Amino acid sequence: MVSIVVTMNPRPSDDSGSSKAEISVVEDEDSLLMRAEMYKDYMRRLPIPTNRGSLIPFTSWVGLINSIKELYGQPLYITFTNVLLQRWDHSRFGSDSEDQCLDSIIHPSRAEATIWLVEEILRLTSSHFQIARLWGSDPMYHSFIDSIINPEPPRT
Amino acid sequence: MNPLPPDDSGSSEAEISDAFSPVDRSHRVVEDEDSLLMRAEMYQDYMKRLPIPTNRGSVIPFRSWVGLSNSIKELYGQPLHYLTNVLLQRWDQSRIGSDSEDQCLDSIIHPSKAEATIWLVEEIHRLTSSHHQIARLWGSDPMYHSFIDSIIPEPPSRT
Repeated sequence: MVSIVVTMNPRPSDDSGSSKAEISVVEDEDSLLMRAEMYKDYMRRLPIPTNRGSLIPFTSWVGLINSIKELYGQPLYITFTNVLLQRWDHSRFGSDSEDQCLDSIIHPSRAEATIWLVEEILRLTSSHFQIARLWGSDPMYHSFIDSIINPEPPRT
Repeated sequence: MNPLPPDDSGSSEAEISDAFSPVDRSHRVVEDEDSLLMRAEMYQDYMKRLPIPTNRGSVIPFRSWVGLSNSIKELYGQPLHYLTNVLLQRWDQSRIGSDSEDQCLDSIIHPSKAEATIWLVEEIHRLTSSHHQIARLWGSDPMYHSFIDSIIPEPPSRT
């Protein structure tokens, strides 16, 4: 587990009621790159779970990934895998089979296998430059990734 | 079929004209939405019916995702979906700058896992994509035809 806390840009403590957009401070590139590298190193060391017995019913890819995160207690590679799964859900809109349950088209075991294979690929081969670039263009990621790498800093 | 001038870098796949790409690429033709939608529908209907190969014995060495996909297309004589081709290029791009960038990709991801992943992803794209979304993506990607593999189409009953 990563225990280093990066505090180049100290954040205000969690204000309930602040929107995420307010909390996400615009970070300088170096800081972003450093956090992307830490994140990537952390994710690369997380082993892919091997004992996968359950069949998880699902009606959307994002739904499936949330169930998987809960079941295995792992943050999936939020940056890329999440983006891909959202894209897959989005690409169904207007298809003939849109109203069909997704798990009747793609068997749950294949769906989960796909997610883990993609996850493994992205954990092992992504560069932190790409991650940083993606984060830089979306401030929402900062607060999300923050909660994974930096647990709440102790109040001083 | 008219061979096209190879003006797309890195896309040897789309040089043969097929029913889904504009033949004349000497100038950018702005395609109207209806035409795009109709072609996307034809495309998706075609791709949806292509069966995913089941007898997959070989282990294919590879140095990039796009390279592996080209080997796969040759080996099984099948096109891969536009969305798959786009995704695989994205995966290759996401390696740029990584520590393992100079390592052979198949020493990081086993070839059989890599091929299995491609087919799983391909199945999802074939079975669940909507032609509306495909048309929308094509409309916003001026190079979309470089991600469409040549297909031997039925002779069109309309012009």
